[in-house]
Amino acid sequence: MVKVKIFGVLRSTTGLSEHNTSAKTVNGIFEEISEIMEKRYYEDIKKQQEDTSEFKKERNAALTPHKELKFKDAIVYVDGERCMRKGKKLPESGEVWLLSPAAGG
Amino acid sequence: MTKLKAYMGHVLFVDLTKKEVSEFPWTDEDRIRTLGGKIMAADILLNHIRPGMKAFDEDNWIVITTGPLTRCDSPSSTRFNISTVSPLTGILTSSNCGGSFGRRLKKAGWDAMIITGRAETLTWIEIENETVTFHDVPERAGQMTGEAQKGLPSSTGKLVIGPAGENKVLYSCVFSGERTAGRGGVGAVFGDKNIKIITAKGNKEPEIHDPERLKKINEQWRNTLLKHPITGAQLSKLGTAGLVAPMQAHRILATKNFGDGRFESFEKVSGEELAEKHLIRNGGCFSCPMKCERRVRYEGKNIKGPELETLGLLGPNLLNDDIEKIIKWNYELDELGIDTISAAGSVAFAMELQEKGLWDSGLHFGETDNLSEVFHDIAYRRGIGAELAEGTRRMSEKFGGKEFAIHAKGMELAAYEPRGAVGHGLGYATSNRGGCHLNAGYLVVLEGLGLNIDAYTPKGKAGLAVTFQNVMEAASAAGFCVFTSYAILPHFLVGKPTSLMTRFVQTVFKYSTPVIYLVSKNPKMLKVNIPLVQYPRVMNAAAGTKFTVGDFIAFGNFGYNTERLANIILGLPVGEETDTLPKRLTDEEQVPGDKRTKVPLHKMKNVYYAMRGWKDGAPTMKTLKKVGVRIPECIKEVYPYGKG
Repeated sequence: MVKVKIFGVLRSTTGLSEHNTSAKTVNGIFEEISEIMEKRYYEDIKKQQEDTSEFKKERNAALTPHKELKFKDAIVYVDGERCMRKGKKLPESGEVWLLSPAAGG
Repeated sequence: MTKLKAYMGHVLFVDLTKKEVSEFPWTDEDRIRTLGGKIMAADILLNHIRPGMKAFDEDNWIVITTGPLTRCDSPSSTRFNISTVSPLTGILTSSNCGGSFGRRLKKAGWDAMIITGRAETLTWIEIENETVTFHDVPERAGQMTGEAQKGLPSSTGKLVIGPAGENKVLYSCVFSGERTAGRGGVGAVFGDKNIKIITAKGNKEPEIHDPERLKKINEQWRNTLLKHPITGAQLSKLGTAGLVAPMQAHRILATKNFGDGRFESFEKVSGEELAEKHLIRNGGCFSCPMKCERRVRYEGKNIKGPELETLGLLGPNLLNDDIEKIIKWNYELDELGIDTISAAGSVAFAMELQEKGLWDSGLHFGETDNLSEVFHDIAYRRGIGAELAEGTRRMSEKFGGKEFAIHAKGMELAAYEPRGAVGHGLGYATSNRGGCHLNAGYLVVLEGLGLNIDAYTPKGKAGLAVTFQNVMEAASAAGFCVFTSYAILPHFLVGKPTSLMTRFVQTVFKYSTPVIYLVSKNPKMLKVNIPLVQYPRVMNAAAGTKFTVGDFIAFGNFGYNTERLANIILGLPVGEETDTLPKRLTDEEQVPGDKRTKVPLHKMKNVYYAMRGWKDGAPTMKTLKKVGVRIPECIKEVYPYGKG
């Protein structure tokens, strides 16, 4: 299993800090996280009994924490090394960091 | 009087020795020449200082300046500046602050105030419009910065020092509310002059040239800042503390006195940890939409939380992973009136001296239970605190270890380990006030945190350093927080680090030197205004000027040259020793075996000097004349390149 750690705005907005995955690639991780977020969204919505048109709007907001920030734009590190190719095969075990694409201060 | 709007048109001159006040002559021509803030202060000081002048000389001036936009309600424009000869570095320091004092000083009718002389007893300078009253306040001796601000008239802007300033700790601060003019030891100069408190209040307002247009531009800019991934998301959600994780990833998180760029337990001292376990709410300066301040709880109190620099330097750099200790120390250092960056840097250096057997201070990496006591000892100059209060450079001169004494020009470096972002290293080395990340041009935002251009190549870095130093210099002088400059980087680039467009720009930057060289030589050729760079547009609407982006960059260039000339007069060596970093950063690889992981300073510095029109770190006479720097008489005594 690979442990995925999420940092920055991606984490503070989604509330997702860690995720264990058996995904084979970074893209696979993104797909899994999208599914988690979507599932969470529907669970929330079910509780709130909102109407469908609102669902879509809110789901998009949940999946794109900041208007300009998306998981697929995250900066990715695999076992401490920068990974530029999202299709790159992941190791059997290890740690992946997903960082928000921009920071300063 | 001034015909320019936005300015108040008056500069207050205070002679503490004589307890007299007057108006310092400052014309519209001077305002147009220097803009305001730190550039105005540098110009005033350049024409006052003399070779050999020291921080604690009675005739050293403290120059407190606002920017033209300080009271114009533009986003993040509440800043003011304190400049003087620094006791820490021996050269000029300019310390910027977001507290309310600048706004209140303008409300009292003053754009700036200059203080000379020395009071006989501890003094409170009370400014109310044109009236200045000197109060002896010996009963306030030893008061902490919080206590010192209590019992003062309401609706006033306040400046105070704590015990560290009174005891002339070389990196003591001045506080305005909980905001700090933190770097360079301005608090010690206040202490030397026996100033405990300055307050300002009044009932005036600056005139605005075109209020409707200013309102419209302010709104546009506020939206730009709020939509930007850095200024609108990261800074408000996680504050500057949100940088710990990306710095860890990019190997730029200063660890064990800059011996490494990664810290195993970084998550325990991260912005995420702060936000999830300690944050009460975020806060910020007046008129700022970014709200990067962290309010945290400490012993039942709602206090200002630590910034990135404090987390990094009191955390990984000391091999400490206890964030609660950092919150506590941050509060204590603020109360004592001490710069957290220099204090932490000095302690880290002492720990390494101990490890190498050069000084038996009893301080050890990873053993931090006694640090509260050590910080109090620094403030009162007791025991080892007396040595630590002198800062890293002086300790290295006494105990050795210059190669790992992490400072530039005597000022301890901020928390970014530059071997993982070599252009940032060039910035540290060339920064006029010393090892400051912001005065350095903050290239790390391009080299990893924001734009992700190749952090290890020296290619193109000199040009970027010159450009960003100039832009931030001018933004600060106008009264803006320099964090606003991140929004110049379009979010379609910084928000999408792997897009084709971003990769193209990353490549182009490496080969941008010829273009930037041309612009840096003739910034005024940029006769345009663009929405991404809002500074001149705001300025024009507020003050009635007709500045372009090029004019704005030219202000920064003027400021940088003015400060550099002042530094040379004050004794900054010219030649190989001018702009240096400790050998650890230039000669030792951060990752053993990876030659890219050290700062190729010499290579970048030569290009940097060519772009600035400097020789061996000194502006040539030709450059000074071209840029328009007022050249003082005393230059003949110290200046090596008179013929240019």
